[in-house]
Amino acid sequence: MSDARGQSADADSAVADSARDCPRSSPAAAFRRHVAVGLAVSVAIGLEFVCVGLLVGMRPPFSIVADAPVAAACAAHLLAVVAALGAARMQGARTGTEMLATLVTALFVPLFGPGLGWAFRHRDDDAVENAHAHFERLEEAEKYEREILHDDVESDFAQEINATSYAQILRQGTLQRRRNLLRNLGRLGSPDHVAVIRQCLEDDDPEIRLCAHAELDRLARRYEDRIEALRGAVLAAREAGTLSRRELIPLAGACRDYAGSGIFEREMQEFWLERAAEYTDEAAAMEPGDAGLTRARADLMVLLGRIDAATELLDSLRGEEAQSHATLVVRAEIAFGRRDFEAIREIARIFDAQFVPLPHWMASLLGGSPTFDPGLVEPGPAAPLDPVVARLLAECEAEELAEEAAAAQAHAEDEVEAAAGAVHRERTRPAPPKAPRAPAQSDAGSEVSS
Amino acid sequence: MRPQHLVPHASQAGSVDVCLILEGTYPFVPGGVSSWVHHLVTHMPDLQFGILHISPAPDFHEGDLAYPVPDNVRFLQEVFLTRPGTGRSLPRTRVVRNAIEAFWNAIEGLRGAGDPADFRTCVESLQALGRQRLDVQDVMLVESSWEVMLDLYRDEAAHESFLDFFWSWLFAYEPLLNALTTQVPDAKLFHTVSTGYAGVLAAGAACVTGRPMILTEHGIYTKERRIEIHSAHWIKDWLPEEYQVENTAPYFQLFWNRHFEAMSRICYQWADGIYTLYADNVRAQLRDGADVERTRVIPNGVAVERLAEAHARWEAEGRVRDERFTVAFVGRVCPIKDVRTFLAAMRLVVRQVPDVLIRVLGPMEEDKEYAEGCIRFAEQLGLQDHVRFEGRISIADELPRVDVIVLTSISEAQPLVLLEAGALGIPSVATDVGSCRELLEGGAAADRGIGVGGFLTPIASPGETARAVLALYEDPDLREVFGKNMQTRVRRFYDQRDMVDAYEEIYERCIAGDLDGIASAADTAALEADEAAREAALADQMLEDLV
Repeated sequence: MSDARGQSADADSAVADSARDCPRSSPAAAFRRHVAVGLAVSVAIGLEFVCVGLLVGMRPPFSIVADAPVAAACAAHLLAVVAALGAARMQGARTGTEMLATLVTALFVPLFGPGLGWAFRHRDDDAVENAHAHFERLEEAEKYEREILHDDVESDFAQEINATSYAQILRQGTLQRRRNLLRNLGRLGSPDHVAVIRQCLEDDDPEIRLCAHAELDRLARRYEDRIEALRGAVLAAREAGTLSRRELIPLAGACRDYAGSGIFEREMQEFWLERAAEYTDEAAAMEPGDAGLTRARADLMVLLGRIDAATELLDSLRGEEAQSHATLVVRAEIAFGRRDFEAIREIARIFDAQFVPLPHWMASLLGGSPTFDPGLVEPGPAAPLDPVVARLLAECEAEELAEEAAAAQAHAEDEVEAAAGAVHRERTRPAPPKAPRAPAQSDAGSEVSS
Repeated sequence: MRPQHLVPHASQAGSVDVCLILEGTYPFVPGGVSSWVHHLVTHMPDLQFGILHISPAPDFHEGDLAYPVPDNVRFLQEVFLTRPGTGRSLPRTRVVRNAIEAFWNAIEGLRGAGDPADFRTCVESLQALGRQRLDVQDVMLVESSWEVMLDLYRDEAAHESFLDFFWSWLFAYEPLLNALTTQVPDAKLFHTVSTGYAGVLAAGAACVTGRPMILTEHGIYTKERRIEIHSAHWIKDWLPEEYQVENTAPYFQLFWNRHFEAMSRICYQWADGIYTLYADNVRAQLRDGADVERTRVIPNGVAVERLAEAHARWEAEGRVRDERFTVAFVGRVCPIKDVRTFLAAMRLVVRQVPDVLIRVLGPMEEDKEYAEGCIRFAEQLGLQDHVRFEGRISIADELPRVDVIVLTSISEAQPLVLLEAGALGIPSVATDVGSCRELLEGGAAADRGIGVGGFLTPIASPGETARAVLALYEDPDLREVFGKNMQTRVRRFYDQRDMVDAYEEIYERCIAGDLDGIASAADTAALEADEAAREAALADQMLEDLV
């Protein structure tokens, strides 16, 4: 039985050898074999071309699975190589040269597939990259301080609306354009922008009114969430008996910011300022004599229009603190509340003498003091200082002054140029013929005229 | 718990006279529209009603019903806009293929001008699909639907995120598909109380049964959706590099706006009568595609007699009012009612009237996050000792205890609470939205002659609201005069019986198949003239601006 098996195995082996050797010995069979290998490699290349080209091309249906196009391309390439080697082997390639030739061909020729796919990739690829980059920028932008965001974004925004004023768009724009404007103003969210949104609460179109309200509501909730978080910290610290200015002052600041946000009418602004004053008072009670807290309280009193209370608080400061720059700034605010521009100038002179830069609003207000007309500001006894109005006033003044300064500088440059020209002409003018010495009277006359 | 007499499915109830098709309201959610439906159904005991209620998903409305459903309501069937799939694939039969093709043809038509013939074919094929109890969600995921979606993406949104587009597309059309495959019950008349998905289902019902369909819109559905979409955080909004103010909205906002507008258009096209509460709403409906010949104004009304009786009973029982000056907000605690402005205004009132009692009377379940935010806001304002959030109450029992009603809504149709307060002689302070001006100051000349019934304030204005409340606090005579004026106005123009009579007549005529004159063009002619005058004025203004 075992012999029979052995014979049978030998016979199979002989048949297999003859089958292997037979085509090798025939040129026609060798030709067929090489054609088959070539075809297999071509098919593998073709398949790879299609797969990788489509994957890298990122056409929409494939974009879901092509999160890693390079990995996909490598995998497809290796599969094609294995397929080509397998095909060569099946067709009887055995020698090292044959296998090496197949391997080299399979390794390098298919690279045309991804190459071509990459070269002719779908345009969406760029769009997706841009979208991702944009998304990252947005995320990053959220981390910025609001002021930074305002500066960057507002310049873009102003460019985009092409110097068309908000009011014009709101008066003449289509519903969609007006809604977009409101949305963007809400994103900017500074008191000036909020003032424009507030105007839209009285728009004739109910949809615009509702959009304006939605934007204000969104902004308000941002402030309130912050206040709520800080209030929670204050309550927790109060319960634990560890309440200090560290919890109270940020809460007061948040209330003050909310008051100045422009979201509310005058009455509610006052309410939030009062809350800020309460928290500041509480902190001050814990640390009596703290000059910073006294100044903060005085500042809030100014904003609330309680000028006398503010003055009283500042008068309680002693020593250096009474004349510190921070104290003087609050005194200047009090003076502004009283429309006492001479007092503001006096404070500015002190700053000037000590080479301390003036706060922006004072610089704007007094930069053109010789021409500044106090009558522009409606006089009133201890009228409360509205921070928004004050800033707008200051900005208007600053613009006027900048224009004046630019004009003055241009004029000065013209004069310098004219003078330089005169000097040049004087120098290059040929020497006049010597004249006889003029009489003394005549000399005096020319000196005067010069 | 649902009442025993209600059957859960229309097919088990047989034929009814009127099938009400409702979305997010009666009997699950309390509110003005729900009260209106409840009054209507309760006051027509001879008619058999059925209710198809559109709900977002199974188990969305848990717990007790918000209203006791009357005996003449035979069935209450919920239609879910989204539901878990059965996991079975659709068979590739001709019926299925035709239905899918018809659905997308209709959608394509609706995204453009809209062709009623496409809609009819679509509804008929989808009803056939629905009868086979197949998993219609699979329709959205078959290859031909995928191709439709891809074409739309390439045409309209190639610059947007594909995934966002895919999900928006799915969430927009799958609910529509679910609504239109719902088997239409046997009813002599279909009455929907909004456009949107309910409106489309009602239009589909009218289309396949040939029965009349009428629409009553309290607030304008598309307008409300536009506002929601404007401020929605869930809509993907890829900002361009610059902050743009151009005429284009972010794509997905446009997508959803167009979707809701298309649904309203279908409903207006198929409705035999289009009713609303006041004239301004008709203008909005005309802008959205309603036919002027089929529109009519039927004002809201309150049960004047019942309220008067309740008041008399209340007094007879010797109940006493709180001695404190009481100001109440009555309504759902939700963003559109702007309860925060009410609270801010009350903060200012408390400065002048330290012992004022502030009551917030209304359900707080609709937007729990907002309601909790309001409670927190009241604490931030230091109102915790003055304000009471009391939830849903009985109007007849609680309103007599109130001195002034305040309504700070940013959008309203015709608020019932002003009418209810008016019927009890309570003056109101309300924002100048919807028909509040008409209610407090009078609409027609005869109405205006009655006098003022309260103060109107701008929206989001705590200062003005507080000033108005304080004016009423300081002058009890003024309160009385305003209260009496309102009482007279409500009795004369806003009696619920008039409203019920109007609908009873419409129902009778529709059921009898006599559709002529169910919507009177008489009162819309004036509207058209008014609209033309407005447009002319606007054109003049634009010309003037240009010059």
